[in-house]
Amino acid sequence: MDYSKYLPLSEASFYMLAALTEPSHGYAIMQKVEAMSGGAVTIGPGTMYGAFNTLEKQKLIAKVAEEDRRKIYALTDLGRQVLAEQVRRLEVMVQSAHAALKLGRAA
Amino acid sequence: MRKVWKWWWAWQDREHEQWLAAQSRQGLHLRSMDSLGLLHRFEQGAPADYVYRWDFKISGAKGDYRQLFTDAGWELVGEVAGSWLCWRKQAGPCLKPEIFTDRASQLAKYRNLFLTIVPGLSLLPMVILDRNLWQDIQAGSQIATGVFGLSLFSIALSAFASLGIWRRMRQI
Repeated sequence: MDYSKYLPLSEASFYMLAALTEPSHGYAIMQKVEAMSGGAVTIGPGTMYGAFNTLEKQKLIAKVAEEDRRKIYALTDLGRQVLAEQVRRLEVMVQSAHAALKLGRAA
Repeated sequence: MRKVWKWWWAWQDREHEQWLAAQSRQGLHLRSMDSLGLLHRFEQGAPADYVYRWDFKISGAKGDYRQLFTDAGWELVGEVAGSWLCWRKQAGPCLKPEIFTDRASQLAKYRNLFLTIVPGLSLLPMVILDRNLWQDIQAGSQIATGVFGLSLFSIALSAFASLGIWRRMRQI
């Protein structure tokens, strides 16, 4: 399957998908992402709300419940595959860059 | 309670946010606004370091949208024309909260604003300007002249808005 139309994921989408491996609502995702990234990544509510709509339209996430006006989302199978493909591509990039930087230092 | 009138355009939202923050540092905190966004009602209190941020949302502050902002610690302090929402959050010495944390979502806000106001303003004259209108104007009809004037105004406003929004988007 070709995942190119979903990739690359924005930083916010990437972390949201990673956080949604367990179903969560928006604020829980914000906290998870901060914890996951060691405080390096913060997602504002405006950015997150827009990303929810986009990811839901792309069927990468789906609403599974609603509690007190908080929508609870979960990763779909497609979402999981897209996240895995993004991680694979990032690994290739990181390895290539490490090799290139090492070569640059040696010369 | 202090009332302050201030004229500003929708694409001057960043400047308006700075102005509101400056008022708060002097102890004047926005409590509400009129539906046109010109009359500001401030409450006197202790000076505070607040961040104000405008979001543009045509369906207003409802449901899960409002809940998400509230959960994240933002307070709704102004609502203009049902679609401009003024959010406020306490800032810290090394903490500047933002409602939009990437470029794409910031740009999307102005894209939505553009698509909401510009097509309407430019289409209106196309609908009402027709050949009969010219004949009526030549025949000395004041209504026809008024309609023509209104159309010109609408086109000028549309161009002005486009320029303002375009400039704002270039700064992002």
